[in-house]
Amino acid sequence: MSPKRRREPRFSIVTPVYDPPVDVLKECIESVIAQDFEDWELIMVDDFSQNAAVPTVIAQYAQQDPRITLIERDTNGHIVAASNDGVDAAVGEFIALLDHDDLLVPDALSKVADAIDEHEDVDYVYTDEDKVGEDGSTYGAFHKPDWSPERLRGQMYTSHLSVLRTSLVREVGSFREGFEGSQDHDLVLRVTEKARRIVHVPEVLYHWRAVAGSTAVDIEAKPYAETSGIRAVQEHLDRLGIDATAGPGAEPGRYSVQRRLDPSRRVSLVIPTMGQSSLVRGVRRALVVEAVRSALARTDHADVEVVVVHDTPTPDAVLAELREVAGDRLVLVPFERPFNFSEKINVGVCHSSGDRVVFLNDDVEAISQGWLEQLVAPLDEPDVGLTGAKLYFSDQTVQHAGHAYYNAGYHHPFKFWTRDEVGPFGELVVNREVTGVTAACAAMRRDTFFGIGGFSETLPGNFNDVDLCYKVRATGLRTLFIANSELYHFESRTREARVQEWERLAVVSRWGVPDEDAFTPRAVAMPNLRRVQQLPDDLFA
Amino acid sequence: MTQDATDRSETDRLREEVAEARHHLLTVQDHIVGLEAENGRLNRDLTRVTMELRQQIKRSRRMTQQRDEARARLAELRSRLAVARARLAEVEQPRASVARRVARRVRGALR
Repeated sequence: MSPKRRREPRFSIVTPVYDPPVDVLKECIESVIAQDFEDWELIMVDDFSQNAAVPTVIAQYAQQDPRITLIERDTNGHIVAASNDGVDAAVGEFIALLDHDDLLVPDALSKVADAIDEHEDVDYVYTDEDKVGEDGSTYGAFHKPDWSPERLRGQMYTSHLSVLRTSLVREVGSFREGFEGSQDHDLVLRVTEKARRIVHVPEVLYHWRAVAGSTAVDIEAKPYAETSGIRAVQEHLDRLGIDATAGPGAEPGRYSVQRRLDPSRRVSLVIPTMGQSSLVRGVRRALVVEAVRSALARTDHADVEVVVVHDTPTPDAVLAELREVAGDRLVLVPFERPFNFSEKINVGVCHSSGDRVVFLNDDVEAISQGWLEQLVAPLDEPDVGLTGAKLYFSDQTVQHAGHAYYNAGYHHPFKFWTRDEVGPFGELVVNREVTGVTAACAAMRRDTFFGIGGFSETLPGNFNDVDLCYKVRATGLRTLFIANSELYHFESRTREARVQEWERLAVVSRWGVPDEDAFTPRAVAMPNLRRVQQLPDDLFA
Repeated sequence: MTQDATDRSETDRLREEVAEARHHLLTVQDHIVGLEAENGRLNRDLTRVTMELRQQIKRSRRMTQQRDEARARLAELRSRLAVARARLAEVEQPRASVARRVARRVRGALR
């Protein structure tokens, strides 16, 4: 190591190095030298590469630029030891993590510096990223959500470029031995638990090298990473006091979080109905009866109250069946006014006694065992205000996986994706923050519901859930899409779907026109829209 | 009706009243939250429109200044053009030949 620093730089770029192709390593270093922001140091820790040319090349660059430092390890200690050597040597205010074969875009550091300068208390910054192939072309841009702690439990989505306050990295103990392969996930989980402010820069500032054997090409390239990742998430849950078990997710690099619901919580299912019957998979069924039957059958939670708000025409036979299915857990609330979904739910909640309320359409059928526990348990976290389930049409295509509000409209991203698909970046299989969820199956704390005034009865048919989600967000609470709470939703079997313009305007008058979604950017939610935007102008000439 | 049944009916009636009061509270609360949201949205719009207005006023001032400068430059150029044209006209005007001018002077001297 050469003692040549003149003063503390803004950024210490820490790069553990182990046997990269030399030309790729050079490109990586050149991408740092090419930054339009000069206040950085690059600490390259050679982890005893077998190829002697690797440290030689770095030493040559270090001779030419005093901001570059080479640390040579005497043994191969793997990525954690090498990264920690870099962290120990860092003198910058922030540490930026750069892999030895990846590239920074020329304004990466200046854009991050701008984001940091906006607030005094920024402790962690992450940016969007894409991949760079062997021919130098970039592809697969990952437009990430704004800070999304629930999603970070299900996947290391912040990844590259990550810039962390150096003092905080040291405070939490830097990288930990034993978490190789997921050491960055583990570090970011620990840093974000203590970070005062976390900022997302929604621009691709990092090119992740996609070469054979790298995780960028094959998510299964480092199988040991999954075990480390599960352990990192589990320890994170334990530290936060979240009663849950982390496990492997739908694909490598994703993790499931199975929460346990406090048995003492009373949960009220509030179901508005007219008692209609419909053909489902060729069999006629009283929808509300099957909704209640499946909801109760697929939960192990004992203290469940079923509040059914039924219009006058509801057949007596249906009510009788409900009594049979739900027994003394059933509360029947007659409703005699004209159809108003919001009012029916509000009336139902007012007749309920649970401190957790679940809104349930009568045309749903619970699929996953423990759907209720997974949906309701996250509400024990005080900053979670609303949760919504994953819903499928009867053909098992996705009906709902969270709302996204953008482009002056309210959307259901990923509609008609199939049940076995994971989404562009795991969106369909990972619990995550969303802007909104459908009221066809959603849960809230009772105090939150009353605090925001429940559903707006000025919106009897459509967008009442959109308005509710905006209200939850306005109180600073998070809304979660719960991927492991699955139900069928035989949508609009009981009511004709027709949206009136005044309904949209009513929402806009309160909350304004949505432009870009914070959690499911339009480039992810509607990639076709992005493609149209990218078409050359002369095509339309 | 037994006392027990009377009590139960009274309990139901009170329970219904509580639910109705809760419902009324909800709708009022929604109205308040809605008004707050609308106020917030209008204030944001106001801020945005005010900023846009400031920018447009600045732009308008800049454009007006540019226009005035262009007008002044145009007037100056026009004036220079007029002078140049006059000079050109003067230069281009046909002059009497030397012989004729000599003759005119001689004639004048003889008068």
